[in-house]
Amino acid sequence: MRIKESEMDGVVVLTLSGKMMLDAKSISLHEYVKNLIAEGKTKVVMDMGKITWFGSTGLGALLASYTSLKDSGGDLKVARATRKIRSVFMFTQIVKVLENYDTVEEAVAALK
Amino acid sequence: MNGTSEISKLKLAVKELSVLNDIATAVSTTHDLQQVIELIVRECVKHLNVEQGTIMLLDQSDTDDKFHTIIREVDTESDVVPYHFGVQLSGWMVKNQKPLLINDISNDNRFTNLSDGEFPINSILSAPLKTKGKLIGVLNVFNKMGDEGFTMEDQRMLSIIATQSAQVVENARLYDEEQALKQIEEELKFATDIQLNLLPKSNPQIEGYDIAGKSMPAMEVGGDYYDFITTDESRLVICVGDVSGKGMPAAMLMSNLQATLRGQALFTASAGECMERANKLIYRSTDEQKFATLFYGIMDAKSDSFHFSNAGHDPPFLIKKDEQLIRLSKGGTVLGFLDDYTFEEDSVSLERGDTIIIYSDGITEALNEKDEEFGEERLLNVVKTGLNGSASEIIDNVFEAVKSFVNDMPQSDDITIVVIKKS
Repeated sequence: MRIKESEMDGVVVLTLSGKMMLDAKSISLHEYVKNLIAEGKTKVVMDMGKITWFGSTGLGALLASYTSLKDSGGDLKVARATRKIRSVFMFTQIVKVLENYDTVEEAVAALK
Repeated sequence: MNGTSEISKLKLAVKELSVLNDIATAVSTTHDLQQVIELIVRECVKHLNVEQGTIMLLDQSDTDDKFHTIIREVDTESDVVPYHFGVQLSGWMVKNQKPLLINDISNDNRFTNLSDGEFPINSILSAPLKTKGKLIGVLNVFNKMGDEGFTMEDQRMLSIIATQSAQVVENARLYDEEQALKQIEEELKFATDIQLNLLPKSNPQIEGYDIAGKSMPAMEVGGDYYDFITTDESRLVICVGDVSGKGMPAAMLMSNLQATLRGQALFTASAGECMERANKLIYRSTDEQKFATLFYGIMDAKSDSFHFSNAGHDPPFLIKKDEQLIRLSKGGTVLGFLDDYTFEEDSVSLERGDTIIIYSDGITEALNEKDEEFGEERLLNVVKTGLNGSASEIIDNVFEAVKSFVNDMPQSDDITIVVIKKS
């Protein structure tokens, strides 16, 4: 999985692409977010439109990121989640706390 | 050339040889990196008449960017080389790869930030440690005793020691790495043993039902878990879960979860309540990276009912005898994510010919070489085709189908399945 970072209206946008799999790279998403928090950046949008595979490890990394951001007074929103990811959000009931937006702009606006 | 200088040259050569002999003899007694380094440094300090010495090893894990590589420092006493100075020195050595001799370091503008160490450095002599033309570290001695400072003879001596020691140090480093790797492997094996020991040794026997479970861990242990807990002669608790992470932390979380559930199962008749307690336990006793999905079902053979709560686990299938499909999804989110969370529960009645399939995502998300997932549809098809077989046969069919689907691809996650048939 690749992580590309950009900024929009003071919100960090992480564009994720590839597979969120059971490997060291998926764990690094949480590490990446923890580094952002250390820099004082606690409002984050994850653009998941280019994720090609999403399993329980990806979910673990996402939840860990959400928890760390919330604990430091920030928030996480998800944008452009694929049908597969939305279905995982549904059956795990994550959907109740982690909202998905159709566009990155809408997710950023929700964090402002 | 007169006789005196011949004699002093010979004396020097004899001294050099005896130093090298001392080092060779000393290091032949150990493989330990720390000890090898200490021995070499001790010999240098003794023969070059200096206050202190150290060997810095380059961190070889980052080959792309050596200049910014943080050095790993091993020395006889801690804090000999101030951190910034160490970085500057290793940077200089990476660039120049030749001996360095400075007798008045406070007037040398190549090096700054000497003040942050407890040990004041006045003079320094360094030589590169190279094996097969590659820089692996730096041998340094500091603060020559007496007034004359480091001489060219000292530089020659240190260079010879560095040349002779480099391979010994590299061998010890490789041995060190190998030991570390072995330790990781042992820990993983230990974690796998713990996990495998948590799994039921046999399938439960309950009148009117055929129940079986099987779990196959991936190469690097994932976190699948299943359990059968008999609470009385007609009731059986069935759990299938997936704990986040791998290795020892996952194994520990899993054994914690199992102990909690085994305790709860005997006292709590409600699946939802049991989930709430397990959730609290995981939330409060672990860090933010630990989660578990869990399906918890209570099968009552007397009333032929199945009472359950699902914490974010892939919803099991209930295949009715008329092939009607029901997903067992009522419950809540994954365990360990939110504190004080209320879990819902539901109940289904079981009739003759009904089958429940509880599985982990390692089955549906198994990938073939074209990056396609095995998926729920394939799983259902395999199960339905062999529905007349026993619970164990259904499980074997699924494992076989997943195996032939992924073909040569390595198994990336644990796969687990529990089958309950009302006969």
